Amino acid sequence: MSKAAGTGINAALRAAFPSIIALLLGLAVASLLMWILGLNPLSVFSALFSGALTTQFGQSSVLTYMGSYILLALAFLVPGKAGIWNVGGQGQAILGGITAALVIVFVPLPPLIWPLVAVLAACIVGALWSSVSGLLEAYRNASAIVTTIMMNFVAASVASFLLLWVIVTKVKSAAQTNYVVFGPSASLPTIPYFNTSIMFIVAIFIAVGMALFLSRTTTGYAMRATGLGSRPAESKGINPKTTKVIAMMIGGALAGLAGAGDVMSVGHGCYLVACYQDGFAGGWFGGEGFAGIAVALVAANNPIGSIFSAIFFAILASGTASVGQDVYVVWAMQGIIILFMAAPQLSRGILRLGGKKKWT
Amino acid sequence: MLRMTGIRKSFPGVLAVDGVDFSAERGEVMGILGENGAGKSTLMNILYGLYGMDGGSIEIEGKRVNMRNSGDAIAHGLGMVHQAFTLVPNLTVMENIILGSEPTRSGVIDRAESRRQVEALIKQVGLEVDLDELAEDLPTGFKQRVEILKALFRGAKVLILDEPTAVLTPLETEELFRSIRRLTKGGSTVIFITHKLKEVIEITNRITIMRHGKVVATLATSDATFDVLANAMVGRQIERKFAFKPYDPGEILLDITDVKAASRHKLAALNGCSLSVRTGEIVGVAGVEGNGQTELVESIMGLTKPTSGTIRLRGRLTNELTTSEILKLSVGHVPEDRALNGLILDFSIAENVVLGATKSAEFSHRGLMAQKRVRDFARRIVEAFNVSTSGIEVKARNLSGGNQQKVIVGRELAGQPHLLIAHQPTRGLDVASTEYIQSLLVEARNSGRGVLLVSADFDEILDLSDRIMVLYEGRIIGELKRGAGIGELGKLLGGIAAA
Amino acid sequence: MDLTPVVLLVVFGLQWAIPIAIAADGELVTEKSGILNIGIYGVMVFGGFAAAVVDYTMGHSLGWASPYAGLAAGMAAGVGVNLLFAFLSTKIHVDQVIAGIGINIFAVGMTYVLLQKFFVIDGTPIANSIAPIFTVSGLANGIAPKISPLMVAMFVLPVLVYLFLGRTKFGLHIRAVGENPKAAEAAGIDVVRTRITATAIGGALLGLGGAYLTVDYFNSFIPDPTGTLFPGFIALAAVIAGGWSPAYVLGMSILFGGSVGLRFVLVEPGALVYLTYMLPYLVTVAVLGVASKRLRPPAALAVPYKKE
Repeated sequence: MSKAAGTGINAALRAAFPSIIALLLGLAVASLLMWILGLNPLSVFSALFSGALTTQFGQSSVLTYMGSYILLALAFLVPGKAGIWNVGGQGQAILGGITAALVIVFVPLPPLIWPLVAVLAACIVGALWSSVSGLLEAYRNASAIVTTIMMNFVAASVASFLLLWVIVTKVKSAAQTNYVVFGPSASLPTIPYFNTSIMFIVAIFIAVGMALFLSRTTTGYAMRATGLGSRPAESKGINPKTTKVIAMMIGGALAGLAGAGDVMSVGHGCYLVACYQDGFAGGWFGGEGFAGIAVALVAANNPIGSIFSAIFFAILASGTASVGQDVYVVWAMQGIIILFMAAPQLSRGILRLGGKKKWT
Repeated sequence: MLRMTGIRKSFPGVLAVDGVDFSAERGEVMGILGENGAGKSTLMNILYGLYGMDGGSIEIEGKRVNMRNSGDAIAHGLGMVHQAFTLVPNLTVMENIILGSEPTRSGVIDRAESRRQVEALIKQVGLEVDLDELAEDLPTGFKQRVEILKALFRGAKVLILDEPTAVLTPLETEELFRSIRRLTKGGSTVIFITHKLKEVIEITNRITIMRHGKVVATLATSDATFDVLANAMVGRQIERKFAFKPYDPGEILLDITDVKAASRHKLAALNGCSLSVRTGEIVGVAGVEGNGQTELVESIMGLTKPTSGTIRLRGRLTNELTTSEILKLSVGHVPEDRALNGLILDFSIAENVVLGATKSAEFSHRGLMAQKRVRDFARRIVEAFNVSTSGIEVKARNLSGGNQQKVIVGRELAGQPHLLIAHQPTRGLDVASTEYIQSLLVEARNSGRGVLLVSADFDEILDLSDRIMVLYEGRIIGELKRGAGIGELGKLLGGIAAA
Repeated sequence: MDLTPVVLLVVFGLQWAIPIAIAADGELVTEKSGILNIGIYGVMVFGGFAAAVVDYTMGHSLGWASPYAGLAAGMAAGVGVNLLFAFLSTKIHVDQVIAGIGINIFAVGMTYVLLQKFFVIDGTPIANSIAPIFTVSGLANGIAPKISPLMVAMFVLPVLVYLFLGRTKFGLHIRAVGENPKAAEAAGIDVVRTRITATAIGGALLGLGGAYLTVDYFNSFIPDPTGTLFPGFIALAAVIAGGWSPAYVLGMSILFGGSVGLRFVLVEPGALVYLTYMLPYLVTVAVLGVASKRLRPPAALAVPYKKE
């Protein structure tokens, strides 16, 4: 495997070390906070982990979350390599999910092709959505950070409308008025014991694929060059504008795929509205799009590292759900972790105190 | 008024100021004349508290002072106007002038009082400017006025101007000179840093000439002639000998005719430049930085669009071509600032040497990079160009300046270009690397390539060039052949065209 | 002709414009100094929470003044959180965007946890709410919306912000620091200190915006998992679409408030309501796309400042 900057396994581990330290620090502070509030962090964590890892439901949740988180982390970090921030994974995923649902509801197709087309449509829509922000930044100098965040809300709004107006209205069945179930021929193939779709396996392959894409293809090279040195790259004929737009579109497609996976995954069909919390697809940041960003940050923006980081966050999310503990506690912790993650000096400072100079 | 004695200052690898004595009297205009690297800006930055000095002393009005930062300098009545302006674009002229020393009444700016003070100052100095205009809307000449007013508003008695006319039109230069005369009549002292001979004779009372970090001479302007100044300003430090094949240039590779191009600050940074480069020769473009060199190189490489004129590469008109198209015409480019423009610091050597060539058939196959070929290529370059490194996976950031430059030059030459453009190729390099890079340029010329050497290092120009074109204020004001005298070069550099 | 929907739209629109406008003014001051605070939502949530807690606990002892104490507490909370954010961004060099996202996520989680811990109810009711200046009566369905005194604040604040930034010494420093920090430093201004102070000032207003929602509009603190109750991002959009100019930002805030107000007017058909959610953001993206040449964010916005 290529040892080019930031995408091989060695680089992943080396880069991850400060992140892991920061993660542990974040966990420590979060635990402290919980303890101050009278919650017992140890019991919280043990319940979390046992819920996630020992029950079948927990395990399948872990795998489901993992798939989404890997893809959403990639959706953030791949454009990041080209120097453009994609904070819009949330919205792109939502739209991807709705698109897949629309395809399944309205375009019946023969068995194997059906889910594939739905997934493909989701990717295309995600890519088109993110391309708006990409084009605006490349050609109008409008910060992608701002436009992707804005587009998240637009996406949520559009998706909710489509959800309620189109899908639920058109496909009402007598007993079920607020969710739509997809039959097995429309869903993604599932893994027998765990009862979860193959999305997480696909996601792992895609992560590896992205690592290879970035390090071994000419387009991946162009993206990394634009992100690390757009002036030298430009003086050698690499067009930063088109490169950034392409990077954004890849990110959007990945997020769209994550969204499709959510919608087409759970058990034997999909409880569409359950994916979207009571009919409103929240366009905000407790959602998995932002968890994806946290996953990427913990992995130091490394595609392979994202796999492991995603496992950790998936355990966190799954444990929370299956233990019945309020998701809010996890959110509070996630927030603290993110704050620690984004402070490179902090973890480097700690590392120096600990005498491990070789990692800085 | 002020006296600097025995000033010494070195930066890593270079002794910028070497035992300099400098003084300026009240009410006079003292010029500091020198080429790039003479140390004049460094000296004044020390005076203004921006750099610390390694040795020496500064006295102001007879008292010894310690300049720790620009705040100290301002407190002692010094003001400096740098080449890069420090105005806040979205604030008005008035706001820019009073920034940091605002007259206030319990936190609220006293507008009436501010206006009164500033208008009085303007009247005193004669530098008219519209106080309510936004700084970003001002033409460059006016921006400079605001900078001067800023310094004066803080009570500067000594005004240091660093190459002030570099960004001015001739008319604006006249107005500036008028203001300088008014200032000195009123008792202020002006220190005028420049490389332009005509101006220094016109506006100064005395001239200090610096070269390679030392003061070469201090004389009254009335005693100065162009020849005297030129000879003092440009002296040889090193003379290197290379083995040149007999001069026998072939077909025209690069043909530039009357090209004009704009820069961020100046509409006509390149103001009608014509030159040509043939195979088998080194054409040196000499000039103090800021006379249009960057715009010239960028126009050739397609990074800037010329506003008029034509550029032909091997016969093809390149005005409308993109950079990658121009590169395909077999041009190599060693850019001005290796860290900023030449290398991607966080890429490895291997990744850097294929920058721009990744889509070629040699290094890629259907979108996939041919890793093995890239690595072999990188190893060959490292070996052929004596790059000292532990491996090709080392990040460019971790190489020394000399080795970084070798990677760049190696990369450019490896493509066997017909034309090589080298822009400040040895700036900031140690002696050994400098000689090595220069020998590479000579070798290229000997093997039939054409080299356009754009450099502010006049030793380099004189040693390497078959023909020397001197760029001054955006035009070629003179051409010299190999073996030309220092004096001739010096005069051209200072703007004095041959009669 | 039944004017009820129109009246409702105007009243609800204005009511919603209040927190948007107040928060937008705060964010404007912060951004003028070069700091981009994406955590605007989280700060509003903390402000709202603090206000509700104070009002609830001091309700009996302070009587009618308790909501105003709540407002003050909200402002204080806003200052506190924003100071934390400013400190992280400028001294520890945490990336501003990521720090903002972190604060948002943290805010929702933390306030809910605190809510459960200390109040164990699904939302804190408050003891007393702010007396309205005016109540609209005689509407068709018996709804009687009230006009809050903070609506006055909404119109006064932009003027104050304009005067503050344009006429005071510190305001001038803020503008300089956000545009060309090097020049400001050269003029003797402490860039970091200016930015931290500007962020703290902004935080006060953000907290006030959030406090208004819990103590005046909702009369309780309601946890907000979908991000639709506290319009932090709408306020952010208003700042951008208003081109960082107090007058236009107010205009945008009212416009966006109106789009929220639409939610209450468009009761039928149900699904269409959701399309109104996107209006502020769509407008902002459109403005960015069309007028980005003329829209001038502070040049140093979101660029971390490192001293030479």
